[in-house]
Amino acid sequence: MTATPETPAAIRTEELEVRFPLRRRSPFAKPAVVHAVDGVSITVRRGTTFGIVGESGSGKTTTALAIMRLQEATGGRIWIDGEDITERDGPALRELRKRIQIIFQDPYSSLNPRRRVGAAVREPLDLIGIGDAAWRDRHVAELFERVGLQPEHMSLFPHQFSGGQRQRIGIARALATRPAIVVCDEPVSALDVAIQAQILNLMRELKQEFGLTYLFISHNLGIVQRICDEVAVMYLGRVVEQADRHTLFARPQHPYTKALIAAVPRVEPAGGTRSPVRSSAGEPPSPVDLPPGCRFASRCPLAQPRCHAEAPVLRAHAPGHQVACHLVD
Amino acid sequence: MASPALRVHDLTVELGGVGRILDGVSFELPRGQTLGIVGESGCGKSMTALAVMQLMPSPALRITAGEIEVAGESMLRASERRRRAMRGSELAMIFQDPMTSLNPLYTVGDQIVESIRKNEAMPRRRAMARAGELLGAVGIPDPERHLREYPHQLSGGKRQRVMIAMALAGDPGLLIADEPTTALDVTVQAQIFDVLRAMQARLGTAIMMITHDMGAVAEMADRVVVMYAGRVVEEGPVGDILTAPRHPYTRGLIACIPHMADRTFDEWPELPAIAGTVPELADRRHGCAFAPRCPLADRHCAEAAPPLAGAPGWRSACWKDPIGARQ
Repeated sequence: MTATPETPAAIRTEELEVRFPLRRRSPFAKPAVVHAVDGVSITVRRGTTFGIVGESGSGKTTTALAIMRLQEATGGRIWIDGEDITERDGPALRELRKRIQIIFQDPYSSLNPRRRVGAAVREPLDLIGIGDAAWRDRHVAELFERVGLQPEHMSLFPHQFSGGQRQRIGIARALATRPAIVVCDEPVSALDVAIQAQILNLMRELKQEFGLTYLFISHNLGIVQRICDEVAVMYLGRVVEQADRHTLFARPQHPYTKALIAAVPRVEPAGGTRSPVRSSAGEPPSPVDLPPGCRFASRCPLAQPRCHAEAPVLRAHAPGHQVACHLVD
Repeated sequence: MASPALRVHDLTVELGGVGRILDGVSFELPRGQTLGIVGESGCGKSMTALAVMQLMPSPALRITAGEIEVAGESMLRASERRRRAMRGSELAMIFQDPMTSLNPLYTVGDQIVESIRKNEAMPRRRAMARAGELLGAVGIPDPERHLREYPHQLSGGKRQRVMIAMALAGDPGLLIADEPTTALDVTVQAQIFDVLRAMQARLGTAIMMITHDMGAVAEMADRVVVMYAGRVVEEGPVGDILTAPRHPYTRGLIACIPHMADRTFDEWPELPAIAGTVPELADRRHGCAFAPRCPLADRHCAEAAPPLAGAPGWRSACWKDPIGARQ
């Protein structure tokens, strides 16, 4: 479906913040804090796929976990389907878990090796208490068929499956409670390319069939460009650029977004000439001792004195396109 | 003419009683060039690398036929002592996860010094100075400080640079890189490619790069070997193979990469996929191993395995390839 600004928001965050205190080296040391997520405000419209991209340590997974209330936010607010769920707990929080589920990156470590996979998929239903035992088993069998496995597979153990099949099990488990929103945390990064396409096609069908909203976390810009409707680029805990997919990839504005896009190796079928690699220098600074100015300034080829002194805020560059950079109007 | 950096001829590796993990693998890597080896997990890419290094992971795996020559010298007929000497001075390998190949208890400097002194006797101090130079050459800023650090203090990108420095310490003519950037972020991957290319230009090292990423191949390789179920199914120059792949498996691999498209779609498009998975070793039958997943396969494909055929320089193993084998 095509989202318009009027489409209701499935997820909305305002100034979301997650900080982790670090153990002090001595009682006299200044307390150190890691700013994993630092003021993230996003809106994910119902029925769309919203991508969060960035390198390791950019805070993309922590943002998703905070939205799911699997990681306590230290600041900001979260709305799911218009309801403020920032302080939900107890049964109300469990009720929320029905509506928002997650597919993990690694189908090897996210399944209990000693548990039959049918039971693993049934577990969310058992925990939240949906339906009776017979209904749950029937429902799980249907889910297995829907994700391309056989009901007979339910009695097997995770090691008896290939990586792609395990990810199908992970998808079945995420869909067991019939959620409206699914967080996909690098769902195909651990898989072979040929299998990646199979899993992405399955996710596409399921999205259409169940009207799902995806929050899709990835460092693979090729995939994000193909499947996401809107994309937020994160760098060291902050959103540095956000736009719809067409705009972001056709007219990236932030120097970090440009560097990310330029770093993707391209298969150039025309000519097959090798393009020189355009590598952006350096690596992200430590999230503990953050520079006062723009966090990308130390790696930015265009950085000015102002960039090192003053942090840029995310502001509108064009309708629906926001950039946090002093050098972009 | 000088012998190539690496020649693998008809290499066959058997897992006792179960089947052939590698089945008649042949290719050559000229000096100073880069060869990409691509395929899915379970196709034999890493096994090929380990066989070349003569680091077979299990005694149940045996090389039952074929030859491996590094700079003209047989790896298979060399004594274990000679092989140990060759690793480091003639050929070296870097792995996907540098953390598992670095010793967490020794400093970076100590480990590079060990590689240097294994190949050339020299006083520790001089070796340490040389280790510093190597770190500088692979683009690590402030090498003196990093020499005193332990692996866990380094980022993933720096660890992989340290691995490259260690591998190149003995100035080998052949570097085997097994998924060297798979665990790294895309901007760091681009930096590692730059380092590998710079070192290749400086030292004339031939690189055999194992990867499942066609984009990495396009960036780095001169030639490509595509493997499927233990066999080479297509082999040729990178430009030709990316432009006009002849084997349906190669075509599938290229098509299913969600690379950055020039045009964008209005909706999440159906991505081209290769149905099914690589067959298990025990399930491999005679006939083309790709036939069960191949859109073009007919009865003949399932009955007889196609040989690698075509003009020298660009060959494919497919009955349906018009320039390939005749039925």
